[in-house]
Amino acid sequence: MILGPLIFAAIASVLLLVGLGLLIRPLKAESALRPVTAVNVESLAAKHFRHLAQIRRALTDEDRLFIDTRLPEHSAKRLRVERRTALRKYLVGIGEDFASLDRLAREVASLSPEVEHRQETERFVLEVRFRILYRIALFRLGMAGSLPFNAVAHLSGIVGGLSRQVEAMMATLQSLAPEGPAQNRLQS
Amino acid sequence: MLLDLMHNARSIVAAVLEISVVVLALRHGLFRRLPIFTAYLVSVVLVEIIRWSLISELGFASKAYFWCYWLTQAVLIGLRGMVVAEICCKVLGKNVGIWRLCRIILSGVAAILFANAAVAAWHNQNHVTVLITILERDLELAILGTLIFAFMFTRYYMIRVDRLITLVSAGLLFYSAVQVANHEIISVFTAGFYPLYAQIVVNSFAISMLIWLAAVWKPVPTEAPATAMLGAQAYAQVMPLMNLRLRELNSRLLEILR
Repeated sequence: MILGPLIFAAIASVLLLVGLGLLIRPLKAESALRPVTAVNVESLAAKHFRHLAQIRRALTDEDRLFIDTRLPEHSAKRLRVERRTALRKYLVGIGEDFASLDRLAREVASLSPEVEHRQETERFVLEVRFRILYRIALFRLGMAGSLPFNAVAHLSGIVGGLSRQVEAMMATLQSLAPEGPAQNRLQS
Repeated sequence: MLLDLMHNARSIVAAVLEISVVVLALRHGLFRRLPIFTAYLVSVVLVEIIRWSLISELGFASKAYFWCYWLTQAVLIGLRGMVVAEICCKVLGKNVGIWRLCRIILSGVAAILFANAAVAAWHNQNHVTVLITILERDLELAILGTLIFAFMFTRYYMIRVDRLITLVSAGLLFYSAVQVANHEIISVFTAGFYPLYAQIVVNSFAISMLIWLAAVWKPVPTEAPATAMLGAQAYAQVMPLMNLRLRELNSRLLEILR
């Protein structure tokens, strides 16, 4: 009599936790960010997107034929695994860049006298969507072994462009902000 | 005999704990930071005194005690609701923009949960005891839901919550959660008896009091000064840009996954 509802409760809890994990669980990089008294804009700036040129070789498969025909099989396999790892690390880095910028956006919202309901709701929905898509992209990379270079480069470009714009904006705002805790929280 | 002795001992310990918390709260100036919560703590002690005097005069089974118990219970729950509002205001109120946004959502959450309580009460209005029990359960749920949402906002916007507010909220959350769980979940498993859970339910208020004792044990720290705000142009410039780029990121990710 008791086991029925207990099993039901256990299964429902597991499903709920998995669903919540996929939907709203922060990215690993976001979890590492904790409330602090001062936010250093430089530490929040996106950095990983800058390394796109270095990993271009790993992202493109231009030399795949060369590697497959000229290298011994075990060496070719090792090279492919290493490239996949590099691509995965790069994607994780893009996620970290996003987490830093997202944190900056939240800090700005919490320090603003006027917050728009529509903008906040939209950002929240977009963040959740990003987390889901990002996790699926990582999963797919793990399964398929590669992602289209152009798409990853474009992602990197978007994060990089945003980072540069936000940095420039924050520098301007810091010079305009009154002396006090708000400026201290956004010190550069 | 032994049960009576244990019950009396527990009541005495609970009373001592309640009085200690009130004395420490008043002595350490809690009323300056949280006046409604201080009033609630004082009310708890006053209510206990009124109930005890009625029991000793008229007995446990008297009608006067029955009505006194439920009326004072209503007063205490009302005060707990006001304490939740006070905590939300203290935690989020310094961040003016966020507070304007959150108070609408928090009021909505509270209104939905209160409406739920009212509907449940409407369906059970012929049985006074059932009505009051359901009302109490749903009001505790409203308190729990509102506090949880408030703390989700503080986490999302990375707003610091000091030790005092954290401990006061933890005490409220614990008691409300135990009461809601007691009514909602455990009633499903009526066939079983769980001694540990029974002890937690019986002593849940005393456990909350212990948490509040920890909150008022040291002198209450002065409130941090109000946060200086950025200019309105910061938000107006950063947020539309952030949302635009997020939309781009998402559509690019979608393209990758197609």
